[in-house]
Amino acid sequence: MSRRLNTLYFALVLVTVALFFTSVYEIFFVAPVEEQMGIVQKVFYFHVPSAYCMYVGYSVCAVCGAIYLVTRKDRFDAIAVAGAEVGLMFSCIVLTTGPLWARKAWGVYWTWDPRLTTTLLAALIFVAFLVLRSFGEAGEGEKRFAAGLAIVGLLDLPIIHYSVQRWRGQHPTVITGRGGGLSPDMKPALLFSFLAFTALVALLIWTRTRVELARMRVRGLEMDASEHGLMEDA
Amino acid sequence: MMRSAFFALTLGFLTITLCSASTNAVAQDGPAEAAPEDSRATQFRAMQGPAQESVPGGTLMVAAYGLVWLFVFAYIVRIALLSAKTSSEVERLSSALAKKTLSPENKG
Repeated sequence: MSRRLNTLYFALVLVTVALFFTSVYEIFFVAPVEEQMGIVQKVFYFHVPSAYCMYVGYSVCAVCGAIYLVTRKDRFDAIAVAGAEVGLMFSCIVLTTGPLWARKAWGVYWTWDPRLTTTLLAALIFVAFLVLRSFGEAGEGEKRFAAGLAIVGLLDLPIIHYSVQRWRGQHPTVITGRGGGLSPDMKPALLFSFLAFTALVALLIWTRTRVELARMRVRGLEMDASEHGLMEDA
Repeated sequence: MMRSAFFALTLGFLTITLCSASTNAVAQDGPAEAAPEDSRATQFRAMQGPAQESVPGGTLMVAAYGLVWLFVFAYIVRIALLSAKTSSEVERLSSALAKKTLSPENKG
């Protein structure tokens, strides 16, 4: 990585750290407790930005997968893998923090609400993507099939977003659709959380892409070594 | 150096968030109700008003924030381990290939 990119990377790390400190302060020391749900509503400040990061990760995966299908450049394949992994990590956050809030608000951890179900479906599609990519050394066929799967996964994202309105689910629509809105005192906490999570998702996708590109380099070196008869020695 | 700084920052976050969350949970959840275990074992009493279930919101919130940091930290560890493994592989293969290229049989 060039010196300039290295500086940018460190700057992004510092910005992420600063934003998380600010958001944690805003959430726990500034934002008021919600009238009806009480303190458990504070889960919202990390749950919603995590869902947004999940969308970002999966969209990056699908778009770069599509570009890879056209250009066959390994760089885009590496970004697609990074996007899928990071998106799945944020899916895990969404699918665990949501039920903890739901236990208090709905009385149950899980219900087959349209938004919950479609979110789980998206997570399963990208699990399939990563499983497909992890079958030994993913060849050209596996890479192309996985890219197609990622595009199918992308189609699920608008369904997640509009499912609450379309099928009248019980998932809250405070900041989207026809929700009643957020108290003005709560907005800074949510804003800083969104900014912090945006920086985090960019940082994670960048880091994971670098590692994936290095892994591709290892595969290239292994092929060279194999041609020179070095792999048998190892 | 970069990796250890990243780990330290993540651990710092985990600690700060959980401390803040638990402090808030204790401060804003109100006083704990008297434990009914003793009376429950010896008598049954009719509830006054509609049936209610007490769900500990503070505990659920602390668990949620704890899980967020757990997932983020676990993923950073995964990336770090993958990166370390890949770097050592690149080094090993590069040196092996360099040796092979520089060996007398290849020069001839």
